Parts: sequence; structure tokens; C-alpha cells
Amino acid sequence: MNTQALRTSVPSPIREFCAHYADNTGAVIAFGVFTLLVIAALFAPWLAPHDPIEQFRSHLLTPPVWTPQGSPQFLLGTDALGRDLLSRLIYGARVSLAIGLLSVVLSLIPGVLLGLVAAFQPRIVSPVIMRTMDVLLALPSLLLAIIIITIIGPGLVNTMIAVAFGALPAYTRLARAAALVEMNKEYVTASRVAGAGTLRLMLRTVLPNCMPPLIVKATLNFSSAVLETAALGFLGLGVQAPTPEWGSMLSAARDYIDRAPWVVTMPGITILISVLAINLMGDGLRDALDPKLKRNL
Amino acid sequence: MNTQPPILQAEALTRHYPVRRGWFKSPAVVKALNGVSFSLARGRTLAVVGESGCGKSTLARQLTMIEPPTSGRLLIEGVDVVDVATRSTHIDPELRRRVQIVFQNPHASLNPRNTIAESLHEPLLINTRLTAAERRERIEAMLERVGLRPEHAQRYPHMLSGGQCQRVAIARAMILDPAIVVADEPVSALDVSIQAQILNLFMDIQESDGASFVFISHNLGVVEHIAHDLLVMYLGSVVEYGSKQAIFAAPLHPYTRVLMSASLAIRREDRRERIRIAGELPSPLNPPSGCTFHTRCPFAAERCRREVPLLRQVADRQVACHIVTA
Repeated sequence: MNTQALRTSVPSPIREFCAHYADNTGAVIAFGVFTLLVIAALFAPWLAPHDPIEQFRSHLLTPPVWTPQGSPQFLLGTDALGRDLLSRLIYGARVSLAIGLLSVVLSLIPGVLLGLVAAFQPRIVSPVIMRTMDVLLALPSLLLAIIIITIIGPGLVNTMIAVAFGALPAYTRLARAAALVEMNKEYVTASRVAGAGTLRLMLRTVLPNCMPPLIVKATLNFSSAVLETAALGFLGLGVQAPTPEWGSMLSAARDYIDRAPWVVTMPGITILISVLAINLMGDGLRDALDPKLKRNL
Repeated sequence: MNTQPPILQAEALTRHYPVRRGWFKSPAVVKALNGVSFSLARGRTLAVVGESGCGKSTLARQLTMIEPPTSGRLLIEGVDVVDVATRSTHIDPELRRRVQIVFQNPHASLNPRNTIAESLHEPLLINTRLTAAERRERIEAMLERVGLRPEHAQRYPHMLSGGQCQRVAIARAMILDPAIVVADEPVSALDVSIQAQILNLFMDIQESDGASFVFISHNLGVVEHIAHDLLVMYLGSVVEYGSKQAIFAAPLHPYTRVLMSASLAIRREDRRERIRIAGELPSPLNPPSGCTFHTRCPFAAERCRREVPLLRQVADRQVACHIVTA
């Protein structure tokens, strides 16, 4: 590497971020996999060989193409109703990614704001927020989601809200803990002496320094949101059939696990690969976003 | 001392922190600051010295209005800010910008996610109505004044050395043109060679801007170099207060004498007779009766155990001690 160039020019933050992210091979591969998922989700109607809910009655439980009984018409085989698995997986990426993303956003933003407010108002507001979060934590998140769906009714959007509620306490506590650590640092005091108001201190000074643990938590949560949606779907409370969704495909196929293992395996592997990719990406993001860690790279 | 009107005046400044000791005990009170009074004139430097835990940093927090004192008065440019501070948490921004602070740890005092330019930008953005171009100009001029190159502006704190970070911290404090700068041990985290550079930078800035400094330190060598006046603290109280020359020439309070004798000197003729004291600083939760120093004082008499010594004029300075006579 050209050390002379490094010493004299300071790279732009975006280029620097990309360079640091590129150092992490696992994260780059994960980003590639994630991009494929996003492309599959966006261009599902053009990529999928069949309609995801069309039932081919003469091809029930067709094995994948690489087995002797396989048919080139159905690359990954069909399920018990004769629907093409590959098409369902491709369309399922839409639902799963949307639920993962939106439920993370729906819990991350209010959770972080509540956590910051709790950290900055330790006297009265903080106990109210934190005890409420303790109550939410006391209920198993799936049970909580079931309660919420019972109240607001099943459906895609309601599922996202229910799943987001379960993750809210974790973000609030994480944000509050991180903010409390940062608030005692001298740069926050310096900012206050410079005249910064509470809102500015919260959002401009403290929040950016609390982001690394939150980013990691958000990526991990992305995957658990997908899994939780599947569990809700299994109970008939989540995404309603026949909408293709990886988790409900998995649970619907569990009766055929010994006769037609591919019906379970394919959605399972898809979930595994996407969750792994998202988690690795989260790790890479954290390392690249944190200037304190940059020194060691 | 001199006769100019004081720019900063503290009268019996007191700060107590309640400490909970569990469910069944009544809360205790840490008397971190116990009636500290002094005044500081324009363009002068007051050094506050004392060992760890004597309330130096608490004093800095009061002076910079980070937290309000429990009692006492604090006048900045003749305006009583304590009254303002206790009635509401909102302090007049015009007054707030007149007092700035430089911290001990140069890396911790800069936001690790902001570039140097962004860190310097914040006070200007909040307190002035300059245009973006004017702000950039001010930042560049300020960087140059503290001895940094323009390209440092785009760097992050972790890319700079401790001395460079401290220069940035000084630049941030000075960019609003404050009347008073409180420096809380600004050089104790730096190498000796860097310490001298930073101290000279402080003195240069004082000469050109006429700012007053409250310089908190435990290093008497540094204090001798930079201070005009000296305030010696022990367990939250002032034990000796006077001009630097007077106190360095003849320290009167036993604690000041102990401090002076403990500082190292390279030249043999500079060395003072070593006075040794036993024990640790007593807990501020449960301070000794009478003179708080009597538990460690080599000259303590019976009266010191009973009666709290008040700060009184002895020769050319103020001393809080029963034993000392002019």
C-alpha cells in the first residue's frame, strides 16, 4: 500500500467506511448474499418460474431436480399442494425481508428514543419507562405478540407491530445503558458547556456514540423477527395462507418431514443462510462504523 | 494581589452530594466543597492545588455551571449566576459562553464520532449567528492559533496525539472568546515535553486574549510556571490563599508546606526539607472534627481537634490554621 498517499490525504468518510468494510471478507460475502435476497424480493415476479400459489395437482411432493424422480419443471420440488418451492421461496423473501426490516425499524426507533429519554430524565420519567419495559419483558415475547394480535387482529402489518413490541424493551434498555455510559464522558459535558440543549445532546452528541451495540442488536433482531413471524404464522395468527412466507412454509411442511424432507429443508436452509448473512453483515457494519475500532484494522 | 474589579468571584461556594447507604440507614452527605471563596481578576491565572479528592474538580463543575452549588454565591462579571441556576436549569446562554472548560483527558473530551472541525463547529453553531463561511474561517484561524495545521480539521480525535487533542480542546474552549477558562488538570495526562508546549500555549492565549484562567492542578512545578494566585485546598476547604510569589517563598499552612516539600526538584539547592505526613485523606463522608487536617498534621495541638480554623489574613495571604502566626 502507498503509505505516502495515506499520510497526506484524509479519505472521505464514505470511502473510508467502504474500505474498512471490504477488509472483512465474511461481511463482504454476507453482503453479496443479502444483495441476492433483496434482488429476489424486488424482482420476484420476473425471477420466479411459477406463480407461488398455483397448485399443480399432478405434481404433489415432487422431489428436487437432482434426485431421480425430480422434474426440471420444478427445480427445488413442490410441496404437498403441488406448489413450486423455488417460486414460493423467492416470493417469501419479500414477506420475510419486509417483516424483518419493518419490525426492526418499528422497535428500534421508539425503543432508542425511550431509552435516551430515560437516560436524560433519571428522576421521574426513567422509572416509568423502565418499569413498563420490565412488565413487557416479564411476558414471553411470543405470548405478548399473541395478545397484541388478538387485540388488533391478524395480518401482515399487525404481525410486524406485534413482533416489534416484543423487541422494544431490549432496545430501550440497551439504548439507556449505552447513553448512561456516554453521558458521563467529558465530551458530553464539553458540549453542554458550549451551550447544547438537551435535544441536541441526546440526538447529536450521545446517540451516534451509542449506535454500535444497537446496530448489532438490530441485525440479530432482524432474524429473530423472521422466526417469530413464522411462529405466529404456524399458530394461524401471522401471515395468512396462501401468502408464501418462509417460516409458515417450514411449519406447514413439518408433517412431511420423513416422506418429503426437501419441503422442510429448503425453507429451513433459506432462513439459515439469510439469518447468517444478516448477522455477519451486522458485525461488519459495526466494525466499519466504529472509528475507535478502525485503528486496529 | 491586584485591585482590578474581579471577573469571577466565589463566595462561600458549597457543594454537598447526598449518598444513599441502603434502605435502613439515613442518607449520608459528602461535603465535596465546603465554603470556598476567592476572586479572580481579568487576565490573571488562579491555580487550585490539592491532592486527589480534595474537591478541585467539584469546584470546576460549579464554576462552569455544569451543576449548581448547594449554597454560596458565584458572580461572573458581577452577575450572580447561582440564583439563576437554582431557580431554573436554563442559564442565560450569553453568560454560559463566557465560561469554558478544558478537561484532563484530551481524548475523552472530544466526541470520537466528530471530526475536529465538527467539534469546533458546535459552539459556533449554537452561540453565534455567523454564516457557514465565517464559521469555517474562525475554525481555521483558531486551529492555526493553537498550532495545528488546516488538514487536522478533517481528522477524527483518535488520529491525533494527546497533545494535539488538548490543543483542539483549548481551541474549542477559546473559540467563543470566553472571559474565564477553567482548566481541570489540563496537562497531567501529557508527556513532560508536551506539557511545556501546552502551558506556553495557555500563557500565549492569555496574553493575547486577556482571558482569566482557573488552573486546577496537583503539579506544583506547573503551577509555579503559570499561576499568578494560588488556592490550596484540603478536603473541600481552602487552607491557604494568596499570591504565588508569597506562598512559594514562604508557605505558612502545614499542608501547603507538606505539599511543597513533596514536590521533586532536580537541583540540590531547590530541594526543601521533607515533611512527612502519615495516613490517607480522610473520608469526606465523615470528616474529622475541628481542623480537617489535624489527623495528619505534624503540628496539631489540642485546639485543632475541637475548633474549625477560619480563613484569616496572615501577612500577605489568607491561611486557615490555628498554629500559624505572622
